[in-house]
Amino acid sequence: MRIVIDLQGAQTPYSRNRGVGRYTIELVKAMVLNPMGHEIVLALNGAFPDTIEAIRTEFNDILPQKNIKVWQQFFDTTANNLKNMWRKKAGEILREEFLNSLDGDIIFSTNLQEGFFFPACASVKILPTNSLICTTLHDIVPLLNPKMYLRDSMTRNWYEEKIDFVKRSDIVLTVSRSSRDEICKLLKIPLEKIHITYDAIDPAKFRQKNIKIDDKERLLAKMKISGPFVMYAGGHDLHKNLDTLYSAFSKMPKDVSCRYQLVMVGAGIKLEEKFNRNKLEKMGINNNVVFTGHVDDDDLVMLYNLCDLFVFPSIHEGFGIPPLEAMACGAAVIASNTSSLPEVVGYQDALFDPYDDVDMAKKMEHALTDSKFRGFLKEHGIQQAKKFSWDNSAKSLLTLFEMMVKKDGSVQSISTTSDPIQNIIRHVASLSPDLVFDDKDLIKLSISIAETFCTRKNHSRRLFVDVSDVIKKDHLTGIQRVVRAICSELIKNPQTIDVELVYTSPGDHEFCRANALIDKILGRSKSCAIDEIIEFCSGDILLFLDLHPSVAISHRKKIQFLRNKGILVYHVVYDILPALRPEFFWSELCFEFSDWLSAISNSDGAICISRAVADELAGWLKANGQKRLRPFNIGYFHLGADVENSVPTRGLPDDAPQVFAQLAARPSFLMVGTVEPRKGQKQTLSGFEKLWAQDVDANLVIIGKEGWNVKQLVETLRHHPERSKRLFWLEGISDEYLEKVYAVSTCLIAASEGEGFGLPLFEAAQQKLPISARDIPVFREVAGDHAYYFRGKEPNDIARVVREWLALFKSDQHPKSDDMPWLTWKQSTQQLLRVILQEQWHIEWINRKAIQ
Amino acid sequence: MNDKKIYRAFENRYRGPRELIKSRLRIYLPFVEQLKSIYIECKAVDLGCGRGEWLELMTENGFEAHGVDLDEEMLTDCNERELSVSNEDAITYLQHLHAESLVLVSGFHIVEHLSFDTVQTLVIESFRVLKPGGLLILETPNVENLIVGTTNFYLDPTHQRPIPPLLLSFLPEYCRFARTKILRLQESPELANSNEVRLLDVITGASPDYAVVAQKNALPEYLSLFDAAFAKEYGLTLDALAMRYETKIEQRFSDMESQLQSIYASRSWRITAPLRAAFDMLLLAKAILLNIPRTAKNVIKKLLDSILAPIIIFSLAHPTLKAWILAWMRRYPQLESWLHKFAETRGIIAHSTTSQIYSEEDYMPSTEPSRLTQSTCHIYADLKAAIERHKKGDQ
Repeated sequence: MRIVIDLQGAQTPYSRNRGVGRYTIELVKAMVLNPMGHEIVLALNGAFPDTIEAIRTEFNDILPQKNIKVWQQFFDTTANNLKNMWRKKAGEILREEFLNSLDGDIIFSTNLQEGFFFPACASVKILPTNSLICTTLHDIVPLLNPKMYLRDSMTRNWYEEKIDFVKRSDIVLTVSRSSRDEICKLLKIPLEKIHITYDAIDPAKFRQKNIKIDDKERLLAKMKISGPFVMYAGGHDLHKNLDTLYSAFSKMPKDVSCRYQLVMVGAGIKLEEKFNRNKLEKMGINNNVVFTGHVDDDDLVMLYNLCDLFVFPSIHEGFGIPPLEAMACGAAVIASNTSSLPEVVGYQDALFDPYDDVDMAKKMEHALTDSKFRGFLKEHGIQQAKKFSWDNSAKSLLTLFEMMVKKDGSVQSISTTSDPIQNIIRHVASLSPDLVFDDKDLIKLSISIAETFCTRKNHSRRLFVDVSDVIKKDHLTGIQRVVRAICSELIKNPQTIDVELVYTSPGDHEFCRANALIDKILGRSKSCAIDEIIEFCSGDILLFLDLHPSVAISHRKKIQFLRNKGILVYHVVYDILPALRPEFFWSELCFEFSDWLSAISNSDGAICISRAVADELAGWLKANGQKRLRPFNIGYFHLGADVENSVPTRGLPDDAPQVFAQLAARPSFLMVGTVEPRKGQKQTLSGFEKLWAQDVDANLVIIGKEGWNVKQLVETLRHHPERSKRLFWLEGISDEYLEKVYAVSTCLIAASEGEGFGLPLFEAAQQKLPISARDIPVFREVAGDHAYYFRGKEPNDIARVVREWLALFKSDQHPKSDDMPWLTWKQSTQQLLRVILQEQWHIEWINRKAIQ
Repeated sequence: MNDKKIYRAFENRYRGPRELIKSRLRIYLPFVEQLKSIYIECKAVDLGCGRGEWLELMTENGFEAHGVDLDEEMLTDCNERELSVSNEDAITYLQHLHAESLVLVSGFHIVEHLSFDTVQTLVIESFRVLKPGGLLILETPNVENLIVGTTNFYLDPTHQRPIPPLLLSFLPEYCRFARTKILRLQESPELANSNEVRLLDVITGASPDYAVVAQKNALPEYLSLFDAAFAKEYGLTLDALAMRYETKIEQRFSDMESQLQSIYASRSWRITAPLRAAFDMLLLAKAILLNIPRTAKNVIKKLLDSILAPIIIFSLAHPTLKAWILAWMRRYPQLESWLHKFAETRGIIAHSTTSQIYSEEDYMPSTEPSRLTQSTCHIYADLKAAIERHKKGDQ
């Protein structure tokens, strides 16, 4: 049996922090934890984007994410605005058809009274359905006090429509017997059709506790409570009947009441304080009464544990959670004998007449003076509280569902193969012409429908690879070469998942298919005139392969939307050097980079190009990461080292033979890479100067163009006395030249202080050139034992290493790079896909609390 | 041929009668007369001599004057008066003369018809052909006069572009003439001396023409003969006119102020003070009376906002009070509904208007047609079609 549950009751700002919200989450969680063999699907309204991540987190460990479905509603359906009438009806049609399309045996809505102040939609059977509809009606307080709650026609009409929906439901739930009786009587619904799922409490939180003396003193001091106390906790509405409580307290015999304080817990009550003090003064009990205001859960539990008596004088309740909480904590509880409280308290002698302050006073006095009675109340309370649990309520509800479905026999009266989109269109078209709408409403409705239902032919999941930067211009940077190599692999060879190359731009939230790039890879002429806009479906994966910080930053809300919808969003991280070593980069880049890191940490995960970078990223997140709810997954893969099939550049300058001769004349140490502070050329040059001063016969060959912030070093290089003798700086040489230089060189020095991967090492290994590398984690990771490592940032360290290495070289005991393992791009791409598709993560980072 | 006829007719209409022109030209006599003290033979050439007024004047004053003009029709007037003229181009004529052969070269309202390069050549050639101490006179419209500079200069379609005084006077200096003088000419004589300058005068009253008189270097004793003529101030500048106008206005204002002061100080004013006060109050009372309906409304509205609204807010916050009030109000349903509406419009009762479902920053897909996905477009088309069908079906 499949049960579809509408969770709007936990989404609207109106309900989510109150009883209804708690009921929704706790009851559904209990059902999911113990589903009795049935499948549960949760449905969320996309019009509340900030709530979806929290709900997905709540169920992350107990329900597969694909069981959480979101429908989209990009238009305002709030019922208290008459202009929204058409939109409200359209929203209801969309919701019902969506829920129908989930093919549940039961559609369970935890609260129909949503959508007056916020754009939720809740209707019953305005469309034909195969499922049984179950709705919870928590109470009918407005019907019992229409003059207070249903005065104006708009509210009245809206409420009456909701009651009508309740009557249409196949199963009606409520939270207490008394509520059921009221509903039966006023709404004329047969008693058998109404079932009870009791509210409950979290037994892990609300329980008896051994409280240390220190904590007790501290709490009482904080609350300004001086001794034994009588407690009330709850709201301050009229029906809570607090005035009678004050009066009853004052009517107790003086010798009793002077020993106790009356502690009123609740934010609403605190607001009333000034107003009430006068009254209390007149009653003569002002000094005994304490208003605590809002109290957080931990303190609340302690207060329940510490109080001498808990009084709940409410005249009317749907259920009444505070007395249950108090009982669970071992408090002695007395309450009104009206509405649902007798069921909750479950003991006749603990009840009083809420309308009679003398009766209330007598009961209070009795409880406070008779210790045996009080002890009995406490005992009873603990046992009574055990009867109410979310687990129990969930079990009884699931049992009820089983019974109803069996009875119903699932009559397939409506064809389930009908297209939900066409259904919606049909029903929207036949809405009354009195309802006003305009073209924009139609467009927004169309967008909502398109984003809710996947229109893909075979509903398969797709991998979308974002290549927004490479699309624009070919900078021929290292990153762009990686992107092009991986894209080439993905497109040319069929994969286990459909792959699309897409791009976007900071100002535009849509993603488009990168037809031009796909054509280029497949070597065909232009196949499409326009790049069509991408439609994402739940289950898809979006991988940001390219490094385009402004896109990641500007698309935060779009990415949150996609994740809400059930799409996994990942980023490839090449290195986080600008965050770890900002001194190597200019300041604007560092600012943008740290914005980018914050932005990507809101996605589902990152795949780094080496384990070293993955560890660094995890460390950075731990120190700087913002609050996030679901875990952030970090994985890694290795890049390919086979040269692209591009045509290598050719060309040798005239002095090439001479240079080769000089290089071959003595051991030549090579450095390949842009001349930049972090690549370590400066330290190496100084080291070699020391060596030359000591007549060590070796060449230093630096290959690479001038980079950023190296003016001084470049000057030194250009005018160095050893230039063209034992020091060579070859800028911008062709591939052919480079290959020949490798052939006559002796060793590659990798002195970089920070790298994402270390491709130059692979190049050297392929040329069978031995390597001497700085001992940083990433080099250890890729070169393993196939390199000679060194540490230290002083020139002497380089000098020492060279001498050591030359000694080893003489006796042929230096580590060789010939067998250093490397991957082809094909293998690298497969590794990347494995990490993503099979969820082979290296580290999981969770941060439920904000770091700052 | 036609152009020339038009030009003549134009000239006839706008240039003014012969005598008037000649009288205007007399202003140069103080300059040119001195030439006769230096030289016995005084040959003068007038470039663009037109109808020959200047030639006549020069001949009358003892100069051997010759004129050149390209307009044959003009020259017929000269020939009728037996003046020595020839039909040729001014520059070419100058170029054929021997150096230092003339005492005077003049060009009245010709330079505005020539290109600047030509004017420059003219000045250079003039310098060559003039004897030491000789004079070059060039007269042209003065665009410091706002009407001339914006409108009248362009009445003649053959005018090239205005040449400001500073430019035309710079040329001879540049071409090695010893000294130059700007003469502003043809202003209204009444205006020249009066203090009654109106605003229109400022705009239109500056000298409409000006001339540059340049002298070639000579021995100091000869040059000193011309000092008097060179020292004199000629004409009316725009600045001067504007200043005079300003002063006049200032004077008027300060006169009025002192008049007012004397009135305030006078005894009759002080005596009538109470009378005036009474009259003011009458006006005020009248204004109030006329505005009572509106002000009353405002007053009542303010009262409601400042007194009733807080009362309602206070009552709503206190359940007992609220209940008591509500119970009492049930007896007067009309008052109750009015109060309810009042509270709604003042925003006291939460009857919120539109709620924003997506805050500014939330993701909202674009409704631009170009940014819609294919599926959205299909759905939209189907929706519209279905609605149309339904509408037709109803009818």
